[in-house]
Amino acid sequence: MARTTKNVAKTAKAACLIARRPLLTMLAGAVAGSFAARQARADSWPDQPITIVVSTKAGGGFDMMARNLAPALSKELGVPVNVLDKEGGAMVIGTRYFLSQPHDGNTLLVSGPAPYWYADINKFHAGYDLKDFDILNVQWTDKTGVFVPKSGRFQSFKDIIDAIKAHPGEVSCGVVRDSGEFFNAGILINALKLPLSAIRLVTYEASAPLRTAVAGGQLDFALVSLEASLNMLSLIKAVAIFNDVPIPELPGTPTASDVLKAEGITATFVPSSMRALITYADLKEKYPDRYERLRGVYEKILHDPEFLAKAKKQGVGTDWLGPEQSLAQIKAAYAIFDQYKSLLNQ
Amino acid sequence: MPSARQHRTDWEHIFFIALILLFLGWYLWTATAASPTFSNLILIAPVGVVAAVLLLYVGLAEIFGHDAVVRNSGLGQKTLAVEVEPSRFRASSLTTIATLMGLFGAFVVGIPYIGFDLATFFFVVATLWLLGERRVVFSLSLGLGIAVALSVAALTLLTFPMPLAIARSLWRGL
Amino acid sequence: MIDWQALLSAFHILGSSYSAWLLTIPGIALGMLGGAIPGVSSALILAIVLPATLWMSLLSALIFMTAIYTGAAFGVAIPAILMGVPGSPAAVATSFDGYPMTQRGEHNLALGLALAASTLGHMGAYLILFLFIGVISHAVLKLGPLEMLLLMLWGLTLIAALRGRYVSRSLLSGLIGILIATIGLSPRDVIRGTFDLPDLLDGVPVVPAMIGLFAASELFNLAGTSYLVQRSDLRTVSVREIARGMLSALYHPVVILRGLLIGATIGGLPGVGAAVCNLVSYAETRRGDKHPETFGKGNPKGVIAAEAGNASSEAGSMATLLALGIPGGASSAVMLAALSLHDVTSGPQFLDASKDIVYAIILNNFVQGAIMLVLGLGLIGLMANVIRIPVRVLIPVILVLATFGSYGLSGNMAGPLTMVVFGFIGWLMQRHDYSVPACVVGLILGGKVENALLQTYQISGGGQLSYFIGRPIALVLLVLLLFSLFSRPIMQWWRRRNPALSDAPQDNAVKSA
Repeated sequence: MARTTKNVAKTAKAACLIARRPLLTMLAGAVAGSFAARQARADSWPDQPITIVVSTKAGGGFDMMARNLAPALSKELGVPVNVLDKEGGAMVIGTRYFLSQPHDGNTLLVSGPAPYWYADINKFHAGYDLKDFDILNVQWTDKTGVFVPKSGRFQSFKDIIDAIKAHPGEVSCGVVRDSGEFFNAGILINALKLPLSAIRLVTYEASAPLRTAVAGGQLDFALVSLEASLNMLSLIKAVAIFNDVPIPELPGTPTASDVLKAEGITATFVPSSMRALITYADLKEKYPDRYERLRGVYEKILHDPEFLAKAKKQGVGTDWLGPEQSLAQIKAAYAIFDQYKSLLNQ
Repeated sequence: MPSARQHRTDWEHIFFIALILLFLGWYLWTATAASPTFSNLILIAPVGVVAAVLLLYVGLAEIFGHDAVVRNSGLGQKTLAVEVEPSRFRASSLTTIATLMGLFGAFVVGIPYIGFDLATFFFVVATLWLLGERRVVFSLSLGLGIAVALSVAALTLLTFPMPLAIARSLWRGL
Repeated sequence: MIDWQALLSAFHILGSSYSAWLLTIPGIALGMLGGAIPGVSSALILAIVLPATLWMSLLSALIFMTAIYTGAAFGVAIPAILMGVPGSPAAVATSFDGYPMTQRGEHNLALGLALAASTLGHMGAYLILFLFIGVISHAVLKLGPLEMLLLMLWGLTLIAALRGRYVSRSLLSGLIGILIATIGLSPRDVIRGTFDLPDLLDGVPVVPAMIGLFAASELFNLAGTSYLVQRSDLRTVSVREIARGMLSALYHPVVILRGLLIGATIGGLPGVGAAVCNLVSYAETRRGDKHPETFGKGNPKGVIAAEAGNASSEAGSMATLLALGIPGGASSAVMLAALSLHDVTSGPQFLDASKDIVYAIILNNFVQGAIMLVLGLGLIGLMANVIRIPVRVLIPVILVLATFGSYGLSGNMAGPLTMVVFGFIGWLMQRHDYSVPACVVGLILGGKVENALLQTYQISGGGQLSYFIGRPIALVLLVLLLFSLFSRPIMQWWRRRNPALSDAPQDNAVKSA
């Protein structure tokens, strides 16, 4: 009898997973709740659906990360987990919306504390600060790649650097505006001891039009996030990656630091987009048990081979750094951004 | 063909022009103050300048009449105005339109305070009355019907909450 | 050009997938009904159904979504024609001639024309897509910032074409529209004119602003009238008339073809959506016409051109979506999300590996066109009855629906509030003969023009001439642009110089100020 109840409850809960429509959710939740109550009387939280707010629009990396996580979280926590996309204002709208919800653990946030929040906080008068949040984990950090058109004039990173030095002001470089890559372009030129005008820096709204521009041969090279570019390898070529070690998806592509080292140049680059699951700074002290439960469940998910396999298939990152290390990495990135703050105002 | 009729300055138009000028001036000023760089002003500056010139022309033409402006500026045949017939929009009752706009404004502003459901009901009923609908039962039913239909739509379809006064609790109670 | 094996496979897929077909009709109906509500755009509907598509197979999801897109593309023309309030920016140009036709009692005709033009444009564009998807996507790649800039400027020349009584006031409207479009974050992330409101960081929301501008100029001013169609004898809904309208669209194949080509090609450009295509198609048809002064007063060709341009842009944006993985606008962005949720990354790899699915989508869309003819006829037969509803009932209902729609799109009060503000502005503009359409064109294109301008400046190293030489496409576009701008005045000047050679009457009706 108990097992049947459990199965029915499981099915009902599974049905809730995807139903974003509040009506269906409520009906399913009511059904699931009455069954679940019988077996889970000990832990009373969570007792209502959880919402993951995503501060970008549907379809992007942040949204994918949230939608990937939602079913797994729902399974562990026993309540429906919905994803709410609230894009706008370079992530400010969604983040502020998140902050306006009750700080009780029923709302989570997927957003980009680095680099996006840096501009939000320092330039866009977002009205919040890092310390208002508790970064549970930076789950997915993009790596930056240096891409060239397949039949462009430069076919290696070394060629690009040589050309910039030999003909300053002629090589064109594309980046997404105010992204990690934008900073990296500045850091690169700085490391070459040249002014920013040594390259023609062309800023794009998003990475999709940037990749199109490279694929069409409009630019000499581009610094753009790696993962999403992997499906365009018939048209563009990666000539270097900003990472500590080469990656298996691109065998034979050197790391930028290796190439630069060979030229006698050293530089510290910033990571590209860092995507994190975030909760409120005061959750830990207001509801310590809920905080611990969230953190524990999340960590468990990111070590579950089934989840890892599914995430990998969808191209979603699966790092577990934990709150302390995540915050440290973000702060380190901010320190580098501070150094290059003047770039923001070009 | 230029008319022999005396030019009458439309001061309402002048007021409107002044408003546009105000916006133009303010916007150009804040945009430049935010970042007086080429990349920031590459479009705004030329557009703003041309707009200002046009505004000047239109303003002068309104005050002194198109013929006067044309004669003094030597712009020639191409810029003569066609004689202005009273615009059809001036024929409608100004008070009715103004009240309608006011009601609509009040409706939208009121949504966060009294909820979309109540605001809709009151707006529909009030507007129907304003526009001449005198069948009380009809007005009240229509107002109720629309408010109910849209509240249901808001509760079932939209993924983020809409401010609703009583609809949500009624819904939960069902 | 055509991959025959993939085509066969596509037939097989479509033949064995019942759910895909079952979803087509509801999708079109949903799109049409939703699009007919001003403020509710296809992007909103797609976002609402996105979670439901998780339950479906990839093919079903894409077919359902394109069906909604197709339905909405036509649906937005309905209020544009019947009330002068476009359901979305994609039907702005449709209202220019569609609404005057309604006022004359020719609403059935106008609706029929729009339906036929929409369907033919849609099917024709998908045919082009079918034959040339590879070519189209490669062509898109060849367009750099300079080419995009010229294209946008070409769109902006409409402001010169959309003049009301006064050229100066229309130009001013357009320029102010452009300036308003730049409010918010600049392409270099400088905050401009936002009063420190984060809701304005992304700029003024265009759809609510447009609804406000049009709603004001039409709905508010309808306040004194009794019915949309003044003469009661003309106030009928006649399916026969609508069908006649549909057939009469066939008398203007060139107009349809032009609109079709425009939508299929530039509709594929990222950021250029149905809104731009419908305006460009309208402007080009008007420019090339012997009597351009009849446009804006109820010329059927205007409706046909606008709708053909609008409907065909769907195929164009599907081309870039599937072949390059780039969303053209809000609607295709939601479709991209659906693809990701099905573990599919669209792009050149997808096109190569899953050509049969792509073909299946194209074939289904072809059929969608045919379905829309029938479904559309029935639905507009129903919806046209709106003209029999007294205006005093229509006004509050439409205003409330539009408010609902603009709230739904943004999730906060920014949408409705923008609508009110622009309602007031639009009314003031109408009162003093400032062209509202010109302002809307400026609003739609302003941001894109600035982006392209800035990128052109950046990529040419600060305007160095060397960049501009050796770009043949740009040269062609420049010639087109200049031709667009100056062909009419030059022709007029030529005719004036050689009255004997000209057989067309002098354009005395066209005065400017």
